Amino acid sequence: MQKTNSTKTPEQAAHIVALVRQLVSAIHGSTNEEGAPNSQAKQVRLALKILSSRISSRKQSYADEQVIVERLKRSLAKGNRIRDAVKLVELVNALKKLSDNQTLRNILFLLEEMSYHEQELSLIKQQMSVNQQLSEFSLDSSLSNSNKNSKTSIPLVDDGQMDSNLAATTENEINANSTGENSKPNSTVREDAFQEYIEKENEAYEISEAILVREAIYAIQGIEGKYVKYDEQNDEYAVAAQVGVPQPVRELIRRICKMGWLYKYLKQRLQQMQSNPSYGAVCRSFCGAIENELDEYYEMLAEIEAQAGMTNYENIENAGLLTAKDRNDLTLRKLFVWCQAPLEKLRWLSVLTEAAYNKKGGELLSTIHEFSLHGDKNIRTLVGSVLRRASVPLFDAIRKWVLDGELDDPYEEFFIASCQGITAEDIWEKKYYIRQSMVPSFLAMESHLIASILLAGKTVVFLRKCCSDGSWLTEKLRDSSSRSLEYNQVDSLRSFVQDACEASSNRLKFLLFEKFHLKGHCVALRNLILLGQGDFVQNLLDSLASYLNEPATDLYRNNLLGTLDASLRSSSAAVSIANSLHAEDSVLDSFTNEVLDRMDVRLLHPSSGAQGWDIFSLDYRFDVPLTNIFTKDVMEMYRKISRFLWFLKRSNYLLCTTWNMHFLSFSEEHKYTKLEMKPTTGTIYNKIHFVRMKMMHFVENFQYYVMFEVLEISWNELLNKLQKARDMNELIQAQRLFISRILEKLMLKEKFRSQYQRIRQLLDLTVRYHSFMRTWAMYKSTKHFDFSTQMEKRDEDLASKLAEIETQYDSIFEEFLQDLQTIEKDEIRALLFRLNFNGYYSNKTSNQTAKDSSISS
Amino acid sequence: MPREIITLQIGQCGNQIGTEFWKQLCAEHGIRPDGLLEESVVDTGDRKDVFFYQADDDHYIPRALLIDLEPRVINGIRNSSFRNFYNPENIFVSQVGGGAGNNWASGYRQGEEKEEELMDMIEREADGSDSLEGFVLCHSIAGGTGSGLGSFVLEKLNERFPKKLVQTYSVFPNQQESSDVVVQPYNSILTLKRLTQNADCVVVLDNTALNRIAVDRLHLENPTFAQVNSLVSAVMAASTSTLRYPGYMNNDLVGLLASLIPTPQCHYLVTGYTPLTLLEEDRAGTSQVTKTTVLDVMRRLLQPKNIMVSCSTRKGCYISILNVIQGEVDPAQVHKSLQRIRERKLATFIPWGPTGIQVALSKRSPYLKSHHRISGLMLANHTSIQSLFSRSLVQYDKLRKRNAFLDNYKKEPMFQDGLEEFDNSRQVVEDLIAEYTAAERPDYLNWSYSNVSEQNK
Repeated sequence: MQKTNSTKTPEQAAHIVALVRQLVSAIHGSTNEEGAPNSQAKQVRLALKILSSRISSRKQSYADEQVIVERLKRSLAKGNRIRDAVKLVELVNALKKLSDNQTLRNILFLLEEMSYHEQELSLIKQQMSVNQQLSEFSLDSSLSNSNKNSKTSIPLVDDGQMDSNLAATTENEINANSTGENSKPNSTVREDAFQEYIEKENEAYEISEAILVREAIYAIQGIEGKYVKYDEQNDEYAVAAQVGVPQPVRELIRRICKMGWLYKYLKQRLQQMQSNPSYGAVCRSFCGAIENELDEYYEMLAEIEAQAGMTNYENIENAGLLTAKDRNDLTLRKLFVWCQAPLEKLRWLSVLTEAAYNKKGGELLSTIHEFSLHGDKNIRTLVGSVLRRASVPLFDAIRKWVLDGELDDPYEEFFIASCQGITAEDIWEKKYYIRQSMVPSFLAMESHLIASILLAGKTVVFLRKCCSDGSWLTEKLRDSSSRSLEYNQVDSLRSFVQDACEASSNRLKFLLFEKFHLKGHCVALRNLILLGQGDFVQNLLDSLASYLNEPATDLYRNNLLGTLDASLRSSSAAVSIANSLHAEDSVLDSFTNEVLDRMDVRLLHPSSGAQGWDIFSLDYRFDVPLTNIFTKDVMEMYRKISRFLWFLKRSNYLLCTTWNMHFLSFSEEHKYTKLEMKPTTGTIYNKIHFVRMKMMHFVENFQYYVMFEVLEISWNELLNKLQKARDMNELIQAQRLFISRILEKLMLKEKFRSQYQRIRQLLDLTVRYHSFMRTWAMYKSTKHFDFSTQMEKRDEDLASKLAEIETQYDSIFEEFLQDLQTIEKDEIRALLFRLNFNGYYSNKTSNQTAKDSSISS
Repeated sequence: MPREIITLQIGQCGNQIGTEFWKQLCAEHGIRPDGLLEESVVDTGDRKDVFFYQADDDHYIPRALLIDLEPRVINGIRNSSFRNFYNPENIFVSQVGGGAGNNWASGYRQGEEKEEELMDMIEREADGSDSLEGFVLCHSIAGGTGSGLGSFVLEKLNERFPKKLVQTYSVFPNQQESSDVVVQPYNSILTLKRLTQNADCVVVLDNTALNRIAVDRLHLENPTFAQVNSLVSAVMAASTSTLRYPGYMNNDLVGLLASLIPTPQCHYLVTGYTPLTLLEEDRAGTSQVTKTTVLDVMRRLLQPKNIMVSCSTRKGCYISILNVIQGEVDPAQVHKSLQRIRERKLATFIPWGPTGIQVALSKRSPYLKSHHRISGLMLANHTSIQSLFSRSLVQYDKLRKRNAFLDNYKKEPMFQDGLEEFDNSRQVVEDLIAEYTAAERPDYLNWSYSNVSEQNK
């Protein structure tokens, strides 16, 4: 209390200033994290102002111990406490002896203060009892408040320890109090002092709280007020620096005005997002959703404004002059508390907006959806409602796509996307795809659903564009399509998509089978391309053989086409294919013609020295829409199999021809030379037959394998799958599986390279054998007329050549069998089983090894 | 371009089994006896044109030549519902009408006398086809016309159509009963020579076995010709079914026979058929409905009692087997059945080369309702067929030793200068038996007639 000394030396004054500064900074440091030097300086100034005021020193200026004692005595006497007064005088005298003047005076001052408070306390008690009698008095709480405050105000202000906002309210209360207690003669001086202090304070704060509340309300709407301004530097709304407002108030306003900042931010972002159409429809509806949420905020603002009495705008300027009662007591504090919920919401909205910024479509929804996993239920609800609104365009797009196959997506925000420049030929596989980045995360787990959506739309597009069919969609589906599709209702979306998918797929399946004869074409492929129609193949081999024996370069497609057509027409192929349709006669006829039209010949690029056989391939042309099932690569596989089977058939054909030849030459031989047959000729003939027998055995059994283990089984599978297929994808898959199984089982895949090559070598040897036998037969037919001595030599030549073919064949065949044994597959085992049905080859090898071992031993 | 097949039915027996064959074919293709299609018939992709051609008025005419030296059987046909079925130009009946009198030499001579007429008929018919595959000859080897005239035609076919296949369905006489034709063994041996030298394939239909089957399997006490012949027609129809209902394989005669007959000499095939029912009975629907599986059928086909040749397949070995399975067959069952058959060692095969059971699946006629889900025909090349020839040889030798009944032969030009042709034919049959016997041995490939003759020396 040394600072109360009126006669201060300059050193003392400087010391005081330093102490105050220390104190302020200590308080500041602990209670206020911001610690702006600006506001510290203000506080120091304020503190010094209070110290230099006469509030605490008003009595010291004119009172010494005598005066105080007199005053105390008088007051005691007034209260009929004469004895106490005498006692006081005695005590003062005793104290005078014990201590110096200064101490005594301080003690006396304390006593007087205490007596003053005692008086005041009793006075208030009186008043309170009156109030209680009045019972209904609105100021009740504030009175008791003021009661408490008035008791402690001075020391608190003195110490500067009190929370500043409390001080601000206290100040008002005191103000009010003091005005109501002016009549007390003994407190007049002190009241005067208070009045003076408050005036000074008002002067120092410059603005009343009411104005600040108002300003804050403006600020939270993103409007700058007179005092609360947008601070560019700190990017926040705050009370302008030059305006004298206590730091705590400032802080409070700053916190309230965070909302303003968020609001302003939101508005800005929304405007940005809305002004740029390239952010897309989802983004627009997201903005809509946010704005919708802001509506609630506006409602809250309106309520606050009503509370703040701001409905009468004329009063705004004079608000500072309004009394506390008129202001309906909306304080900054209350405002702050009120603001907490909307603030939280605004914060989340801006977090969502920030996250969504620069994103579009499904990606945006995914981003938002991440927040829906938040633990707070309120936030989940908020995010949910935003998502629901934001995802409306998505579901519209899904509906449009699924029902009409329309993609209206200029900003690429839908998860179904299309490629440009795809012709109707392979529209199904290549045109549409899933844009993974745009799959909303709430659907991302439903990969099947996403696929179904893609499928449903594709089917509709396909029906429209490839099958020229638009009338498929039943009203029923349209009706049911009106049911709402929303975020979080995956099940209803799923059933909607499924229904649509089923309807369009059924229609498509119907069209493919009934109008486009899918099954008929499958049969055509099997019977013609996969050479299932034996008499057709035979005709073709008969009539093409002479062409195909020519060098590849001499082959003309047109010649071949004519032959192909003739072979088709003279075989039962077309009829039996048409019969698989089970349709009316007129349909059958046109389909038969169609099949004949579609059959084609394809010539591969000839390598040098290639024969016609090497480059010839049957082909089958497809049109839209079936090109989407029989795509180029599928047809390529068909041709690959076809060529292989063609080689097989050719070998079979040649061996049969040789067989016929042998028997003829045998009969001729028999007729003319049997009796003079040389001892070696008989065995040579057996050899010829034996080689043919082995080759035939292989070629035939391989064909049986092809028929039973490969074609028939796969074919039945295919028919079954086509029957059961629910949609286009399954049809395509069935087809692909069919062809791929065959490739696998025929060892035409790359992994069976060595086996395949052996087969080809064996088949080539059959061709060599055939041409060798032709020379043989020609030589035989001239033999009877030629008795030159060279004949025996030629016989030997032929025999050795035959032996060479046989040795080569045997060794390759053995390698082939060994190669087959390395394949762990049931079908291949079945093939091995067939090839070695009577155990000939296993006996042979065991004999061989027995022979080998006997040699080595 | 169908691979046409011309059927020649020679003699009483040949015409009888031929008639049954055509009846069966008509039934399977929905052709009425007047050659027109049944009204309910639609084109199902069957190949009628292998065995038929269409006249200008669209009715189907069989590629068949009916040849006999006596008019009884052919007149019977002419008076039946099939009277307008055959091309009248294709019917040859000797004007003399006395037949061949069960004399091979007489039949052969009459053939020589009518060579021009006969060959004109055959060539005309051959010219009527685009790509003739070959001839099928139906005859018996025991009588006079089928054997003698048949032999002559075989020789001529070989000469005139060297590139065409010749297949015969040859009925072998019943060796158990004492026949009314005592010279049967002579006729058989003489015909066997031609069958060996001039035919590419002989399907042996052994009357001994056919009668046994009719009695044992069909429970007929005295089987009639017609009943036995319906068995034959069932076999003939089934063996041509892959030609008439084209599938992936075996759609021509060459393809069918090439793997069955690896060495030219051994071209005699035995047949088996199951389930056995008579055609009429089948149509009447009195037979029991049993569930037949592929394995059942294939196993039964291998049983000697179902084989239509009276020689036991328990001895000797199979050179090759082709099973033609008709009906609804799951292809996956075929492999399983083959496996089972090999596990159980139900068939013994030759040791000297790779072979096995081939299975051809064939469609079934949609117009014939069968009570069996599937039926099967086996065409097999079995070495035990030689026992049939051996028996013929033994019977021949018995007669020949006594020079019995040779007078009628000596009257004919072929034997006027001596009986060399008898000895020559006997040698051919002996060689054939030797060939089949050798085929049972692992060293068959190094065997030849010359070896045999050397050994004999």
